[in-house]
Amino acid sequence: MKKFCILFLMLLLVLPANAFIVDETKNGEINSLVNKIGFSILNANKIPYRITFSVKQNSKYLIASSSPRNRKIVIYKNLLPQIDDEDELAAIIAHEISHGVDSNEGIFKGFFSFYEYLAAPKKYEIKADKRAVDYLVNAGYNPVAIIVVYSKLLPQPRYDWFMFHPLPSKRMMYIYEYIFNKYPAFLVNNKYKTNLYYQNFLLTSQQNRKKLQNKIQSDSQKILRYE
Amino acid sequence: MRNFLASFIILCFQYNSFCFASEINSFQKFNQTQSFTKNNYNILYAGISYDKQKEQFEDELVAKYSDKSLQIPQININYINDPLVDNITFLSKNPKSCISPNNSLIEDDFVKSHLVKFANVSYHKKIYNFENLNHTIVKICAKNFVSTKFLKSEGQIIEFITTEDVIQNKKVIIPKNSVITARVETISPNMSRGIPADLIIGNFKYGNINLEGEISKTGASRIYWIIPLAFIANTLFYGSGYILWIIRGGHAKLKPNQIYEIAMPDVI
Ligand SMILES: [Zn+2]
Repeated sequence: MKKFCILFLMLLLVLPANAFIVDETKNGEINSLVNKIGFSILNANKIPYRITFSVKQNSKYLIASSSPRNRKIVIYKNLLPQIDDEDELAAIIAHEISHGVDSNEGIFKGFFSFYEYLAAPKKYEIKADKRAVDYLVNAGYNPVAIIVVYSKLLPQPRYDWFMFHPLPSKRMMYIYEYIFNKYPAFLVNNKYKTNLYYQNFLLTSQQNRKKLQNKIQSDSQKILRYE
Repeated sequence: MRNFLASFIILCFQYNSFCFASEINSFQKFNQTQSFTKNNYNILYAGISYDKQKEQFEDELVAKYSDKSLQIPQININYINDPLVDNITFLSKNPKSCISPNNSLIEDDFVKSHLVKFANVSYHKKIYNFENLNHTIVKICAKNFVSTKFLKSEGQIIEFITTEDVIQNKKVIIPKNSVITARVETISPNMSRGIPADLIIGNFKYGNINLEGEISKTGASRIYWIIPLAFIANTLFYGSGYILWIIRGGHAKLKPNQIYEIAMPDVI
């Protein structure tokens, strides 16, 4: 009887939360697409942690987020009309998965990882961008899509001094350099070559690409400071 | 302790059910006020009545007194011509020949010249057999000391050495002391405030065999004592704690005597 009472109590405790989740996943198509992309990235990269996905109503400030508490990745609906192909959506999801992996690593199952993130968010954002490139390639997606989607979506502030994220122009260049070094074939046979947003990246990154060109030609090993 | 736990669970339950119940209550209240106003519209707003059968509001004033023969007058818009532009026959006949969008493509010349040798390289989606629990382990150690202090470029190839024979089906597939190549996947540098460097190494290869696994190393994280200490120092002597912020986190290192385990692929 005692056990039954406790079970009943627990069931009642869980009920309102469950009702909310069921409601949220009604929007079948988008959810199954996000799940399909998310889980194929997790499996193809042998990510040994459990990470789940959901689609939520529009957010004023976010397009996607990763919860350090329960490792749930949320895609906000305001992102979806701006996505032109599956690789672009996969790019956003791969970046968030990388945060999810970071939140699992470290002492006490990554209990302090968010503390580290808060101390140096830009470092972990760049790391997440780079890992996203690997995740995408292993899952059969085109990593150049990250540059395309950032070029299209991320606004450019003047400086990034007190911000969590580095300037989007810097992020795109770090991704470009990473693809250049590790997966050059994606840049040679670039399917986004004539894409408007990629073209705009090429237009606005000329100074930065010049820096990279000089680094490669002089065989330098220093970490570049992009603008 | 038990009583405390039990009361805590009940409190949680009450809070949850209260939230849930309050949502239902507000919803019912909303419905009630809706129906109340619908039934009493003709009292609240004179001249507008609610027709229950048609389920719509009627504007009696318009229905009774408006002149239905009245029509909305048509307005004639006279466009003002610009004779100067009209007279330039070339422009008016063929406007596109003068103003055409610049559709020229921006080329990435450096990629073209520098990476052309990689044009035929292809990357494949990775597929695994997750049913297999008994992978053949490959034990390796770094051939030379590896540190994020000296590694600067991702994609760089480094070497490992097998510390034991790798045997599969009673056959030595990789002998001891064989060289295994690996790729530096990601370098995330160390930073001030004790933030450690991260290093990920993967893409292990022995000849044509692609081995499974990754080595992920993080340097010493000093953030856990730097930030609290800086806080205490700042409280005692204003601003002095910030000096501690210049301390950087540790580099991620792989020493040659450390043994790491990767695995043979499911299918060779
Ligand atoms: Zn991020």
